[in-house]
Amino acid sequence: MSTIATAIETGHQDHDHDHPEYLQHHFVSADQQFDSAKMGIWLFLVTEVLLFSGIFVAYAVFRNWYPESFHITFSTLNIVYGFVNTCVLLTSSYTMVMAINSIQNNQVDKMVNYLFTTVALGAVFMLIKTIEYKEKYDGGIFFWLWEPHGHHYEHLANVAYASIFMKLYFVATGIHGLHVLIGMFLLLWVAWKGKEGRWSSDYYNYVEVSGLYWHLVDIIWIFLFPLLYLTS
Amino acid sequence: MAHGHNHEGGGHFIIPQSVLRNTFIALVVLTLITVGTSLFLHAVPSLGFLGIPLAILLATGKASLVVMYFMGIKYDKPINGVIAIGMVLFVAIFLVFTLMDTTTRKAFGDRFGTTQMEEAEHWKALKAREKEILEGAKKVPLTPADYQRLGAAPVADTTAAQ
Amino acid sequence: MIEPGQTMPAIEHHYLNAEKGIKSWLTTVDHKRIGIMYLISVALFFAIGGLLAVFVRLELLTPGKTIMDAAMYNRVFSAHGIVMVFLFIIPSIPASLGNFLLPIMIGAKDVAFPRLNLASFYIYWAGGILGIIGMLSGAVDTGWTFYAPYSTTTTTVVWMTLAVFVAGFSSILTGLNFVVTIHKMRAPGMTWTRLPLFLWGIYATAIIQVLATPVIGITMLLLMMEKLIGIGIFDPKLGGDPVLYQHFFWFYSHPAVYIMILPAMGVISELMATFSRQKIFGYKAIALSSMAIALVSFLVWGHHMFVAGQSEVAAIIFSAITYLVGVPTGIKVISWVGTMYKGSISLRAPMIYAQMFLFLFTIGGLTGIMLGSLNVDVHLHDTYYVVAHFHYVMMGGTVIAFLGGLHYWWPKMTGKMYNESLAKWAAGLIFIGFNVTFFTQFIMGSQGMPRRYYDYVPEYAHLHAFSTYGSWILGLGLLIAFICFIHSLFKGEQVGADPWGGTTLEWLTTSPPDAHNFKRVPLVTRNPYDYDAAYDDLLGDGMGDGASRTPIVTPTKA
Repeated sequence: MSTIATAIETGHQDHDHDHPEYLQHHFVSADQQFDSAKMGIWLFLVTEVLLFSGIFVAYAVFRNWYPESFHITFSTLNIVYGFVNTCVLLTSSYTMVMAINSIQNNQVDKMVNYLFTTVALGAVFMLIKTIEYKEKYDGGIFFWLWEPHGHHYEHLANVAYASIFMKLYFVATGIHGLHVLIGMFLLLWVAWKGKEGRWSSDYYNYVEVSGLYWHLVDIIWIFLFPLLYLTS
Repeated sequence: MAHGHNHEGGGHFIIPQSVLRNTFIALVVLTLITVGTSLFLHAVPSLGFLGIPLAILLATGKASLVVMYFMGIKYDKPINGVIAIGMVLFVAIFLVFTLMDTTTRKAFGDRFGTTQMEEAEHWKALKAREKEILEGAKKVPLTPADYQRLGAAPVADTTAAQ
Repeated sequence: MIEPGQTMPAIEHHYLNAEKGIKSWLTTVDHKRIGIMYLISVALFFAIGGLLAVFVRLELLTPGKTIMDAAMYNRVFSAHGIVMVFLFIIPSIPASLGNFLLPIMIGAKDVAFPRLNLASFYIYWAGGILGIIGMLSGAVDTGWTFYAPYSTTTTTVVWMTLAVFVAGFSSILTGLNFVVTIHKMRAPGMTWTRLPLFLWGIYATAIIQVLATPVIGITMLLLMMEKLIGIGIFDPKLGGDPVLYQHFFWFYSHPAVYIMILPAMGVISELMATFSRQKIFGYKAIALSSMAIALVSFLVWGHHMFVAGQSEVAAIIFSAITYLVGVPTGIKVISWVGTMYKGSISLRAPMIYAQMFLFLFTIGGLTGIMLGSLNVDVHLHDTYYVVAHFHYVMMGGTVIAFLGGLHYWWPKMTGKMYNESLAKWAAGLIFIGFNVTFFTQFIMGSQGMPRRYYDYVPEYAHLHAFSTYGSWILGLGLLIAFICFIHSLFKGEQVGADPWGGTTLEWLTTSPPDAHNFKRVPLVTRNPYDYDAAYDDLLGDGMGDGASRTPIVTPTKA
């Protein structure tokens, strides 16, 4: 029996070939493992983009059909919140690449700090979103709720198709917000493992993969912001 | 499996911090421009039609910066770039072909593809003209009895030849 | 060397006995074991879907009520469609044969992400269980297409849409895994032009899976939202457009049918080459046509909606492109026939299935082109003509190819050869039963019999009865095929590494293969169907290590 077959079959106990612990056995080299991970996450991001594309298509179809309703409905969104949130996410993308940069230079503590900052910025985003949602809820508008009242929203009750646009807004930002939350948990896990010393400049695949996911979340918002908040 | 690469940090290319910083600044600037453009178009409504194209263009620019520099496509293996472009291509196909339908529903002049709300409007208008329409219908000869009633001459001799 | 008349010795250590016990199976990351588990699962769902079909045909045996009322009938045919499409046919070849063979055919030890592979399997079962709950909780009678606004106004469609959403994720992750595997894990010397055509089919399929499946995910999500929070994009009462739902649904579901057929075509390429003992005719044409089909399949979905209410402009464009998509398929059919020409044909069961495929799939494909013609479709849409068309391509195409591939690779997967005459009887009954069932439906459909109808006028009674009798013959044939496989496990003869004289890499391994596929990483120096060069590799001692050119490759340090 060849050395490889023996070593693989018997598992980790009697490793008599030296390769790093993080190298999985079906890979031939750490480079192959890293390249595969990167390609894998890119393909996953493709699926995420196509998932969101359905919402953008629905948006485009209805905006094209009912432009006046669209304009009136989305005028009730607060540009300031949207703008601040955009800047928050852009900054979080920056801290994310700095985290990658740090681990590439084997600076684990720096990486952990950058990761925590990224998560914190994500939390700020979610906080502002919560404030926005609360304002709508108080005005009688929410995912399933459509009883617009209060001087800010009551005119919407007489606008045809306004509820469609508003609910599309909730579905779009809701699914996006869910992805932000998932990203935050993912990055917290990566930071925690980083603190435990699992990542190094030789092996930081999970950091890279999480980073790419986080950038996608940012990109989706880059498109959502003008399409939802900046109607003209 | 060796491919040409810098031997810092496990063999992966490290994007210079200055590039990252400049990209971030560019992104913020583009965001400001986006908001600025929107406010400008509010002030000049006649140019309103530029709203969507400009917004998409600027957003695409920002997204490209994130993809190229933050996600590192510029320095990456070409296959990942192909994947990124393919992604955009197929979203475009979905969007364009669906819009190709929804924007040409009335292309041939009929009311094919209206929504219930529009149908209701149409019926209301018809109802309002109902009396008129019924009166008009009475003046159109269809059956031989109509011809007799109206005293109109038959258009063609429809009796069978002997 | 094994002398004539001697029995092959059983292989001592292989993937089936490398680890023992249920837990070792449920926690395995071995792609071969995962492939076997998928095989059992899809066979189970095929049986469930098939039973539902038998009930459908039984009800249609006579006009009016035969064994169930109309409400129940709607639920039964809906369940038949959902189970067959999402739980059987879409995973079928890729998840079972694909999982088993892909790493071996490229000379790798496993797929790129083995744990993700196992996760895919569990997600698939989660979707399956949700689907079963959905069926048992009863009220899905929308058909497998869940068209709005009916689906947004009926009650328990939520379970089913959730099931589809979850099962879709399994499909996505499998596709992702396969794309990365084929790109990154090929053995030294295995260039793109040396890939077996089965893998070109799997690769094109995997690309479609990654691109299209998320859209059915968002569609199901938006459908659920439409139901739960009343968004109003699909329901006309709320200002929405039901045709928009159809756009969303068919953007996935049309490429999905190519997910169903591309792996099948890949199997046929393998069978044609091996059983003609000849180089495949037009390797590049077949490989590129798989990619062309994958691309063009995204541009034709509107041909399901010609009479739904989309604009005439869209209908014309979709119809024109639909004609285009037949071209790469035609190229494949010609290439397969070219492969057989002047070959040394061996009519064993896999080749019989391959011939059946040629005949049945061609009929199915051509009738699809006919349906792609706008004026013809106005009359044939939603009739039994459509039902017959898609059963000819899905069953006459994919299921037949699946059976052919199963017979072909069964000895490799199990080490046992099935009984050839039993297999041929089954194939014959399947062929007869299939045509009796479904050719009748072409006739019925062209005479105007609508699909999904519980009742019908007496004029169609004879044709319906005939079709039902066919379904019994078909069921019997499938049952015999199943018995043939099970029988081989107990009484089948042990085979060597390459009972068929195939030339792709899997025939270098033992039957069944070692847990880690190859004793040494193969070095690939020839084209996959190069019979002359292959004999050097194959004339080993039949124990799977006949290659004299496989160097030892150790994992490199990072």
